[in-house]
This record gives sequence, structure tokens and C-alpha cells, in this order.
Amino acid sequence: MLKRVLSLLLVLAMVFSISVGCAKQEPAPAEEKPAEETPAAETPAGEEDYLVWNIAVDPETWDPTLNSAADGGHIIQNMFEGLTKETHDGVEAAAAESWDITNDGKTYTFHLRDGMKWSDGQPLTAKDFEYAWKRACDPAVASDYSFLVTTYLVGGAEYFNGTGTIDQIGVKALDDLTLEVNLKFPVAYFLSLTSFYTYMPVRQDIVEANGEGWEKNPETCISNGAFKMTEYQTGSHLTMVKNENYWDAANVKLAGIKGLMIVEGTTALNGYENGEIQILDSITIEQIPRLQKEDPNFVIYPHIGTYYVNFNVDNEVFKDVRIRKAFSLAIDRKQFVEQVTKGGQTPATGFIPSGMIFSDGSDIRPLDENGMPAPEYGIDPTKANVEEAKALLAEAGYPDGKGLPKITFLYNTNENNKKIAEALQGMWKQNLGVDVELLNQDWAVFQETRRAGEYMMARGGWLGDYGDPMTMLDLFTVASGNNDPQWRYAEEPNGAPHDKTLNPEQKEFEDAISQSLVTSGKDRDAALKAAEDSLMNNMVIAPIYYYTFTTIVDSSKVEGVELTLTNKWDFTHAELIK
Amino acid sequence: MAKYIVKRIISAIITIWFIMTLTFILMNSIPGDPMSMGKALQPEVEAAVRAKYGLDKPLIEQYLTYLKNYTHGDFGVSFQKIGLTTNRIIADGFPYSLKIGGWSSLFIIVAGIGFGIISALKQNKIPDRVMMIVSTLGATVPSFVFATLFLYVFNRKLGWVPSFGAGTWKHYIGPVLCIGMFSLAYVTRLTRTSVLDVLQQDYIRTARAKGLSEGVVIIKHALRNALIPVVTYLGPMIASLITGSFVVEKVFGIAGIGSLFTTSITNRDYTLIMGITVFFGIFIVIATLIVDVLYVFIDPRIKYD
Repeated sequence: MLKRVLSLLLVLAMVFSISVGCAKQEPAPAEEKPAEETPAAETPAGEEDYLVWNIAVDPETWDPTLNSAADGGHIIQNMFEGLTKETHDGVEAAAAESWDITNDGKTYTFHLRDGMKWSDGQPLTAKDFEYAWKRACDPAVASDYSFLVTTYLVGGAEYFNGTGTIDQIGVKALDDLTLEVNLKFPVAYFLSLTSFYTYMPVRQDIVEANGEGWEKNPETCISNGAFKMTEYQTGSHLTMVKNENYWDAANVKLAGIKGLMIVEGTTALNGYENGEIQILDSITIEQIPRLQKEDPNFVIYPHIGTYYVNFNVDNEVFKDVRIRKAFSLAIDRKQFVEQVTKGGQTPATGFIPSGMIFSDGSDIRPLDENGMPAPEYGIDPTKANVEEAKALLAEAGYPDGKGLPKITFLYNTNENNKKIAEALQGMWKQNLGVDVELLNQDWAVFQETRRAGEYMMARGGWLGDYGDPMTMLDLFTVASGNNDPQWRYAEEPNGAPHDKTLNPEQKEFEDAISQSLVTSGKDRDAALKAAEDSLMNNMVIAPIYYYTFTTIVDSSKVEGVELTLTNKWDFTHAELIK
Repeated sequence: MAKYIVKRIISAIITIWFIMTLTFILMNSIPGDPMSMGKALQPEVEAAVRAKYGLDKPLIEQYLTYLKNYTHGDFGVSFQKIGLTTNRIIADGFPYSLKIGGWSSLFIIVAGIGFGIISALKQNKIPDRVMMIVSTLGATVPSFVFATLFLYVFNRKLGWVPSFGAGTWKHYIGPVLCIGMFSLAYVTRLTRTSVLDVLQQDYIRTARAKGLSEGVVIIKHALRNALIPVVTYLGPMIASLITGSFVVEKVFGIAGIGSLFTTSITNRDYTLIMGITVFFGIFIVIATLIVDVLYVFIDPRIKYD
């Protein structure tokens, strides 16, 4: 009898020891575990000499042609390099040493550096760029950001739509070191675009032989930037080492970088405070007040992006611009950033964030000595304009909110968004006397509801992809699927077949955008500003604040870490302090 | 017995097919799809992406494709982790969860049954009281509280364990304890109640009357019967521990399958949702089958024909 019980326990024990068999010989660190899958990493310096950075998510991709997300963008910034490179101050020459632009601004000839190589030692030529740009225009590749190429390159859209051939696309390698580019119209920010990942080179032989996901395997992740990948473990980490074949390798000091994928903010912060992580960003809100007081490594940077309220302009109530203005003016933006978001955000007076520049380099929305933009469109960044808000609401027929149907505000389920929504609810109650009901939805559902215009007010947020106001403004064009306020003067049967309620005043905005595409310099600046004026005078959205990028760089362990204009980490010149 | 096992395997296959079909239906009926995760795309781009992933095909065709691929053990390519197969994602994430869950199960079996027996034998005395208080806490304190507290004390204050990840054995102490806490408490209580119950039975009185030593009475006569309800609980428990925990994996920064599963749903990563659900299904069916077979060894009264 006893034997039976014992044998039962033995069987159980065996079941687990089979399943956890490998655990028994465990002392090997996790980094070595997936050795069967990944080739032995070249670790000249040992992983203890690597910079440890929390990426915070397992990126969807870091194939430059396919990526459309910030997290993948950080990796690409360090692993690949375009003709030009985005730095903190703008763009500088990178793979291209110089370029010529024709007088009409439509033809660019890039001259590549001589002798550049890919991380596997193969020569890097103009053909690699030609291939990558054409790949971005390929409908079968279906890159999210294909429009960033097809909009500008001659023949790009035609090839994408099947009305043109690949040879008609306006990019051609004249020889190994010369790339000629033909644009449909002069693009003021084209050199900024060529620094963007969609314009970075990829290797034809690698992509064609391995298909999508080539970048996830160290053997086939061939890159041309300062670092190359040596390991990737799904959801856990990604390791890069210095790319000795990079043309400027002499100035790359780091032996390697370990990118972690710790999702939980407090866990990552704890890792930093324990000395295990050196670089973090997007710090959890609750920790910000403490870090601001205690930790000099905690730094807040402005981010090119705006947090705002969408008004559904097709809605029975919000079709009235006076009501939209009332809701916007009732928001105390200064109190908002100081009491609610607390991350050093800037109160917003317009849609284009501070930090975006005009053609002469001046800030579109300069800040005063207190870090405030000038009042604009009736919005005072320092306080709510209660009187005018109330007057507007009364004028619209709802004095003190009386007679309004039930008003709702929709946000996607998330702690921070909830706090923000509750603060807005409070301000609207206090300043307008209107009760607003809060609704929340799971992200995927929220996106669909917003795009379909099935809401009254909804949260909105947009981060710029490149350093030009167009990256913000083209949200509200007729054809944009991200035009959540449903602000369209004409029907868009392809992009938004549901939107049958038209808003004639949007034509003014559309015309200004069109104008900006065919002008340059001051004229273009004026066109962009006119577009913003049209958007804001109609108060299609209520801007609340400009985003900030909260970061921690452990200055006792690392120096020379850079952030680019659109806040991508650049570790090219970083160095560990021994 | 062999006949029984064959019968069970056939019913397992039907169960898994059913799980798969149900998941497919539910997944497609919740609002939002893989395309609603990112920025809105131009209509032509969106159409191209849909075509690439077969989302433009009728549902029944998509279903049949899944069915066909699954019979070959191919779980398809993830929608949200470009170019990665579901098989690779599971293969990368599962070992962490397996290790945590496996050690946790072993710990629960040894400690839980042990504590339960001690508690029962010392009923209403100090060791019993202490264990009951501890197990009440174990069953009621949420694992994220316990995990956070554990990190605060053993990582921040004492520095005995690392703050995140899954490298050395030290990394596993926290997750193993946190994930197993509830079940440990439950097994302790279950064993205690069950042993107490058995000790009141007539045959125990008979055994004692025969003059058998207390040790023989407990181990040979009482425990055997007392363990049957515990073993019943162990099957599903092991399956649930090994399939990972979203909360524990998140707090300890471990890339296990529990968090993958949860995020696959919020991300509407259809292939991954299907793949992991079916994988879990297979796992749970097998664990239950093993337990059912074990009954025969533990209790001669049970026979499967």
C-alpha cells in the first residue's frame, strides 16, 4: 500500500522532471539558452559591457520598409541608416555624402560615400536604395507607410495601384554611388523623409530569400547602421553589437546594446534603480513627481505630438461650432498639465505642436519664458475662458447646458486616459454646467468606433513621424482614414464610405493643404498656417497639450546618448563609463 | 485500460476541435480586427494588407484553412509580430512558463500536502493555527500585491534576487512562489480537511484498535484515501500553472506564454489567439487524462473498462 502511494508521488515527480528537465541543469543564464536557434553571438566584449535599454515592447517589426511604430523606429535608428540621418537638430548627411537638387526642386541626385558595406561585408550601393524604395511601393509588400513614398515619387502610386510598372518609379541607381530621384512636386522636407525608415536600404537577396521576418533572425538581419543584431528572443530581448563594417565605425564606442522588452513600467523603473537598466523612456505617470524631485537622470523632452479631444462634427449636437468652441474654451489647460498629467507637458493652443518649424527655421508655435505658447484661437493656455464658453453655449440655445441631450466622451481603456477623461468631465461640469458621461473601450474597438464616427467626443492623440507640420495636418484631409471628426467637404467612397454628412467649410482646409504641396518657402509656410487656421477656427478638435517624452539615462554609467528630433534613441556615439 | 485510453484520446481530439471552432467563432464576433490596431491606412494599402493575411477571404474559407494547417501542426504566421510563426512564438515563450509552473507545482505538492497533514494531525494547536492563517492569506492576497511586495523586500531592500527577467535560478524564486500561492493554500486546506475526515472513519478506528503504530495508521491507511480529492485538483492546477500567468509574468518581466496569450487577444492577433488556445487545450486535456489514469493506481476501487 505504502509503495503505491510512494510510486504515485514518484510518477508525479517524474512528470514534472520530464517537463522541467532542462531546469535541473539551470545555472546557465537565459541569454545562452536559445543557443540552438541563434548562432553564437560574436561577443568580443562580453554582455556585461553592453548598454541595457528597455524597449518596453516586443516590436511588431524592425524591417525598415514595413515598420510604422515608434518602438521599431528606435531599433532601426541604430541598426540601419538612410541617405540622410535624423539628429537632434534636423538632418545631416549619412549614407549620402552630398546631393544636387535641380532648380525646380523635383530631381535629387544623391552621391553615396565610397566603400560602404553591409554588416556581412557585401558592398552597399545605390541599387540597395532603389530596391528598398521600390519595395515600399509594392502592393504585395503592403507597407503601412507606403504612402510616404508613393505620394512623392513619380510613378509610385501608379505602381501601387497597378496602373504603372516598377520601372516607371522615379528612383534609379545611375551607378553604384549615384541615386537619381524624381519627385512629382517639390517636397520641402524631402531630405527629412530620406532619413525616415521607409527610405532606408534593405538587401534584395536577403529579403527575397527569407521573406517577411528576415530581420528577426540574426543570420539574415543584415543591416548598414552602427549596430547589427546578434540575438532575438520573442517578447524577452534583442541584442545588437557594433557593426565593424559601418562606414563610421571608428566613432562607435559601444560594444553592444541589450534591448529589453519589459512592458510593466514599475518593473523597468525598479530595474534601473537597481542598476540593471541604463536607458528608459515613457515613465509611468505616478512615478513622475517623485523622480522630478529626487533623480537628476530623469529628463523631460518635448515630443512632436498633440493630445486632443475629437468632436464628431457630424453629430447632432457637435455640428454647431459654438458648442465645440464652448467645450474647448472650458478646459483649463495649465491646471490640466500641472495637476493631471504632471509630465511637464505644454498646454496646447493649436494643433501643430511647438517645436515644428517654418522654412526659415523659426518655431511655428514659440514658447515664452514660462514655457507657454501665445493665446490663439481664443484659447488661453494658462486658464479656461469660462465666460466666453458659457456665452457660446447659451448662444447655441443651451444656457448652462440646459436642454442638451446626454453628452458622452469616449476613450480607450487605460489608467492615464481615465484620469484625463475624469479631469475633462470635472472641468466641463464646473465651467459649463454640463454632465458628460464617460465611456471606454478596448483599443481595437475604440479605433473602429472613432473611425466610423460613432461617438460625440473622443480622445485623440497624434505623434509626428517626421519633422514637418504636414505629418500632423494630413490627418484631417478628406482622404484620410484617421479623420476621426468626420470633417469632409466631399464624399470619400474608398476611404470613408460611411461619411455621408458633408462639411463644406472643410474645403478651405483641403485647398490650403493642396496649396502647400505646390509652393515652397514663405508661401508654403503661409499655406500650412492657413490650414491650421481653418481647422482651429472651426474647432474640429480641442487641443489640450503637447506630448512630452519622459526619459531616464543613467548618467553614472553611460554618456553620449542622443535623442533625435522625433525622439528616437540614437546610441551611435554613446559610451559606457568604466 | 488501453481501450479506455484510446477512447479518451478520441474524445480529446473532438474536444480540441470544438475548442478551436468555438475560439474561431468568438474571435471573429468580438468587435475590432487585426487591422484596427494601427493608424488608419489608405484604402488601397488596407486592401493589400488584408489580402496578404487572407483576411479578405470569406470566414468559412479562413476556418477551413486553419483546420487544414492545424492537422499538419502548422499554427500559421502571427498578424502582429511580422514574419514570426505562432509555433516559434509558443516555442520561445512556453519554456519560461513551463519552468515556473513546473517548479511551482512540485513545490505545492510537496509543501501543500505536507502542511496539510501536519495541520490535520495538530488540529487546533499552534502549528495548525499558523498554517491556517498563512493559507487564508495565500488564498486571499492577489498575486500582484504579493509579487510587488516580494520584489520590494527581496530585491529593493535585501538585494537577494534580481529585479526582472529569467536568467538564473534566483530569477525564478519570486515567480514560482507568486504563481503558486493560491494553489498552495488551497492544497493545504484540502489535504487538512480530507485527512481530518478520513481520521474519523471506522476503519481508522479499527486499525488503531488492532494496535498498529500511529505512523502506519496515518501513512498506510489514512493518507491514501485522503489524497484522492487532492489528486483530482492537481490535474487542472498543474495545467493552469504551466500555462502561465499574465500578472506574474508582467511584474517579474518574464516573456512567458501567459502574457503572450492575453496580449494576443487585445492585439486581435488572430493566428496567435487560435494557436495558443489550441495549444492550451491540448495541454489541459493531457493533464486531465494523466490524472484520470493515476486514479487507478491510487484507488483500487476505480477501474476503467
